[in-house]
Amino acid sequence: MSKLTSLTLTDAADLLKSRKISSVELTDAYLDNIEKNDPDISAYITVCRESASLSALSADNAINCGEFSPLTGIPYALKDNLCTSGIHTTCASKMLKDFIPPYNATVYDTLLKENAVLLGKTNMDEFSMGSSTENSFFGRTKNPIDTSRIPGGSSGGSAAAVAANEALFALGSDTGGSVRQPAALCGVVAMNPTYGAISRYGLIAFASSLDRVGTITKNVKDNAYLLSRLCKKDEKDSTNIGITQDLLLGIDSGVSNMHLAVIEDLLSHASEDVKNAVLSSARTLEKLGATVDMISFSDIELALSAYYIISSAEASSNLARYDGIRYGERFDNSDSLEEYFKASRSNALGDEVKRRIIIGTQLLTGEFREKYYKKALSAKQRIKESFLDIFKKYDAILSPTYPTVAPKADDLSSSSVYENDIMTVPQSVAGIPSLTLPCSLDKNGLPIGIQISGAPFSEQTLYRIGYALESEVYLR
Amino acid sequence: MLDKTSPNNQNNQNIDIKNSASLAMVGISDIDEVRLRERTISLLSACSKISSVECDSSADTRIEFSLSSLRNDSILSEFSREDMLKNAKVCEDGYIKLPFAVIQSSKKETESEGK
Repeated sequence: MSKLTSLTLTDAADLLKSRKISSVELTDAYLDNIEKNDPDISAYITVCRESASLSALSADNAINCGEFSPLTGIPYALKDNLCTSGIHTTCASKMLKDFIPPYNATVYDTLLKENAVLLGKTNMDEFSMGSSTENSFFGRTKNPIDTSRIPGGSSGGSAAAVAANEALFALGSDTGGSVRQPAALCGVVAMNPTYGAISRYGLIAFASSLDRVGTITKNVKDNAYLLSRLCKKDEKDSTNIGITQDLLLGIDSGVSNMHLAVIEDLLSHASEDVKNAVLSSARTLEKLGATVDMISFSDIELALSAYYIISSAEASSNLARYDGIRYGERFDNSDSLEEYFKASRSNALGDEVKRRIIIGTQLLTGEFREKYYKKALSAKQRIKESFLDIFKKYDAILSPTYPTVAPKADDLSSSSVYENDIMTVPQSVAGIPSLTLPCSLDKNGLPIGIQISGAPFSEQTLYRIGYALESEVYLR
Repeated sequence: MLDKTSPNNQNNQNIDIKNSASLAMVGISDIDEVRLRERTISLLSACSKISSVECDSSADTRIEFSLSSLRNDSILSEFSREDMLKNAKVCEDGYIKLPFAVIQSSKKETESEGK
C-alpha cells in the first residue's frame, strides 16, 4: 500500500491507464494514510471517504471503457475555500461551518469531468488570512516533517496533505504567498500561475485583484502536468484569460543560454541557511549552462505596503456579505438589524479576520482612501512595470520562498508573520507566475524552498528551469 | 521623540477604530480598540513609503474588457427550491425563516411608508 502512495502523479496516471493499478486501490491507499496520519497533522477539515470510494469505482469503470483523461482516477484534495456542490465548504470559519455550496468552482468541475477522485477539503487560515494555518476555527495544521512546526499558510492543509502522502496533488489559493510558502515549508512543489491563467469562479474571495488558484504536487513534472489541465477559458470568470498550453512541452530541454537573475535585496532578508541554499542553486543552474547575475529590486518594501493596503481594503468589501442572515451563526436576540449584524459577525468571525476587516474599512474611509488605497493601486502598477523591465533582460528571477525554514509554532510573533511574506508578496502584487520547489535541507532535515518567477504566462519556462534544478538536487 | 507635525502623526490622530468597526458591523471591546489602533499605526508607519508614489505618473490600473466577455444571464433549472433551502438556518413551511430583527425592521419600514 505504501508504495502506491509514493507514486508520482505522472507515474500513477500511466499505471492507471495501462490498468496495472486501479483507482480503487490507489484511493484506498490514500484513505488509509489519511486515517493513520491525519489525526496528528490535521491537514483535512472534511474527508469524503464514501464519495471518494464511489468516484474511484466510477473512474475504474471509465478506464475499462477506454475513457481516459490525464487525471482519471487520481486522488486529490481541495482547499476548503473552493466551492464543491453538496460538500461542506467552510473557509475554516465558524461563519461558514455549515455552508454547503449549491454550485461547483470551475476547477472542481474540470476535475470532476476528468474523473479525478476528491479525497476531501483541506484546512487553511480562516478566509485565507494568515500564513501559518493556525487561524482556523477547526484547529491548527502541523508540519508533517516536524509536527512542532507550522506548515505555513494559508493553504497549509493542502501542502501538508501532499507532503504526508495524504493526497497525490492538491489545489490551494494564493493571495500573497499562500500556496508557495506552505509548499516551501513542507518540502513540496507549488505554482502560483499568472493572474487570470486559472478560473477563480467558485473560489471564495479574500482580495479579488490578488487571489489565484495554485497547484501543489510532489515534483515539478507533476505540477506542469496538472496545470496544463486547469488552464482553460472560463466565461464565468471575467478575469480569466484562457490561454491553454501543454506545459510539459520542452520541460527537459535544460537551461542552456538562459539568463537568470538573483534578487539581492530579498537575500538580505533570509537566514544564512536559506541564502546559501539559493546561491548554491544558482551556481548549479550556471553549471547547467545558464548565466546568473545578481540584481537589485528596490520596490520590495513598497510591494509589501501595497499588498497589505489592497488586501485589507478588498477583504473588508468582500467579507461584507457575511451578515448572519444568508450565512453563519444566528444570534437572534437583537432588536435592531444593525445589532443583529454586529452580533453575528462579532461571534462568527475570528480575531484575525475582524482585525483585517476593520483596518481595511479604515483604509477606505475619508482621507485614508486618497493617502493609502489609491496610492497602493498606483504602486501595484509601478511594481508590475518594474518586474516587466527585468524580464526584458532575464528569462526568470530566483529568490527564497520563505526567509527561514519552518518556524516552531510558538516562535511566531504577529510582526514576524507579516515580515515573512516579503519573499512572495512582490510577485503577487505584480500578477506574475512563481514556481517554488525544495532546493536543499538544513542540518535538521527541514526543507528550504527556492522561488523561480517569470513574466506573465512564462509558466513553461519556469517549469523548464525548475525541472533542471530538481533533477540535480532532488530531495524526496 | 515624535514629530507631532509629521504627516504620519496627523494620520494617527485621525484613526477612528470605533467608527471603522461600526461601519464594518463588527463589535469590539475597549481593549481590542487600543490594540487595533496600535496595529493600524504600526501598519501605516510601515506603509509610509507608499506616500512617495505619484498617482498621476503611473499607467491606468483599470482592466478593460469587451462586453462580449460577459456571460449570458441564464436560469439554471437544476437549482431547486430544496437546494436553496439547504443553507437556511431555520425553515418554516418550506420558506426561510428570517431573524426577528429583520422582521421588526421591515415592519417599521412598512409602517413609515404607510404614514
